[in-house]
Amino acid sequence: MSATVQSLRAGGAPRRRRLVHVSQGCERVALLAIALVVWQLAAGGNRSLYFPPPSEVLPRVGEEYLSGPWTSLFLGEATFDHVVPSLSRMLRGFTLGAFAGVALGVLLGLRERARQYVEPMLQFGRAIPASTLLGIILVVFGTGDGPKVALIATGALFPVLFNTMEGVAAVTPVKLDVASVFKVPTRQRLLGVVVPAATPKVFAGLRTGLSIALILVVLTEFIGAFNGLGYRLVQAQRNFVIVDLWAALVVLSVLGVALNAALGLIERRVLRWHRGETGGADE
Amino acid sequence: MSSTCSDVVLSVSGLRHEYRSDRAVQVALADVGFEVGRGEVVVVVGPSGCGKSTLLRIVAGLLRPTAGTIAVDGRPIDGVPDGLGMVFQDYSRSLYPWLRVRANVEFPVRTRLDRPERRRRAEESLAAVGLSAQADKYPWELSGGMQQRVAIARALVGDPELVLMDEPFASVDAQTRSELEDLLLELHGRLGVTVLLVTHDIDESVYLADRIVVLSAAPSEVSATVDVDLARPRDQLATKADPEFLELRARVAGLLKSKRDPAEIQQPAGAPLEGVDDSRPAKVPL
Repeated sequence: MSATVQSLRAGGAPRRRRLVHVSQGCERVALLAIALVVWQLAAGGNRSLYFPPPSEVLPRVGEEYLSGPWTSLFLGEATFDHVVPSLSRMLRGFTLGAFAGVALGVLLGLRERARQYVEPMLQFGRAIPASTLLGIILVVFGTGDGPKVALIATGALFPVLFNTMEGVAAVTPVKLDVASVFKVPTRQRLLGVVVPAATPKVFAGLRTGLSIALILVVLTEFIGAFNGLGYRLVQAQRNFVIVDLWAALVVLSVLGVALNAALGLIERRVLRWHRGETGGADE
Repeated sequence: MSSTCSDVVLSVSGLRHEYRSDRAVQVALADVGFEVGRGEVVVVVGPSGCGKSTLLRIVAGLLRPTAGTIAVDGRPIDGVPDGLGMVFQDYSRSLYPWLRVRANVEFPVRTRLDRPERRRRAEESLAAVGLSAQADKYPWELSGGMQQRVAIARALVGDPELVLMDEPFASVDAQTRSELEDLLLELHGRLGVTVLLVTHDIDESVYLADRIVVLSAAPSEVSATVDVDLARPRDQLATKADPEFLELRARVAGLLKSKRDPAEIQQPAGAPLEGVDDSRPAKVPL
């Protein structure tokens, strides 16, 4: 029984632990640095057209994306022209999909009968990669921002929906009995019991949804877009400015890592109790 | 009943519960009836699987009986009665791990009282179970006994008319168990709460109860109601050494034994008491 686990903070030597964290972080970054050096050496020697060395790519990133005046936080023109639109589409789509996913998931998680009727349909919906809907969406809804955001939302929706549904359906019955016995209002039952109990699952869905949203935003900008990192990638490729292509990829990866880290941070805060309860608290 | 109406908090009569399993209809409760007076501690004992917990879930309105009526304060109830407090056996699941102890205790009155008032009530409730210092911890940072104290504080926070306890001390060690039993008696003495408690432990039933309702094996009926007139306040050592305690204990044990297996009645004295402990580990929480 996990009940009697007493993972009380040991309290001892927080400073030493922080040092350990820092040194571990250094080790991990060191590997990344080594990879860059290897790439530099490998690409620097033969002046490959398609694989420019980091010494060319990284300055290009700085020039394009980070060369602005201090009044704009040093962010360059390309950041405003391409990163901001991409980020905005992605976040709008992801937020929309996440909210819809959680709302539908809670509803279907609670209503077993409804779930049984709807699930086959949802299974088909999930089986169709959202990216393949791009053609239809372009033809029917055009090239505006709305259809792009909608497609991203659709992609992010399914993992969130399925995970939430599972999490809600798996809430320990006695937790709901408690709410019944104390006659708490439906709102408190939902937001105070069902949703918090399902949050570990919801976050698993959000993480998957976020990576899908990142893929989809780039994809929707390949065709019928006039800005965004996806547009930038295609332009660079068509004009054979390979360095620009690589620079956009670097920016994309940084964006992905940053967004994941941000979600991870929120998750750590929101699910502090979960790590504690399951014995996974920070030692 | 009408003459004593104001003194009877809970009245159960003709309660029957059937359920389906593998195409057969099982009868958990055949015909159960009893009353709980204001300020009384009534303990229901019965062999494992006799439907004690089912009975409590029906009274709590979590389960619909096949037949029979439940009346609280003389009014027939369909669903969860007002002014109910409940303590479940499995504290690790019944407390909310995402809420700190204080918020767990405030949970039943969160929308019913304004903030300062519910804060005050929670403080009071936690003080009553001796956990004021743990209010800002999470339940999973506490020992099992402390967690069950939190559950008791939560049951009391709304100033309940009736507190239901479903094998509340079955999941803690023996030492903690006696402590919690004494805590319950102390709270009962101080607050005068009305308690309906289910247990399979005969010692516990005699030690806590004003009255014991003995259920037979399923399909259950009330095989006897035993009044317990042991003096209060009670004491783990003195009360349990009292000849009256021993006599009551033997009587309840005998009642359980005879209903469980009539053939064993012929066994020499002493045997019934031993047989009683068999039922202890058999009850496994879901």
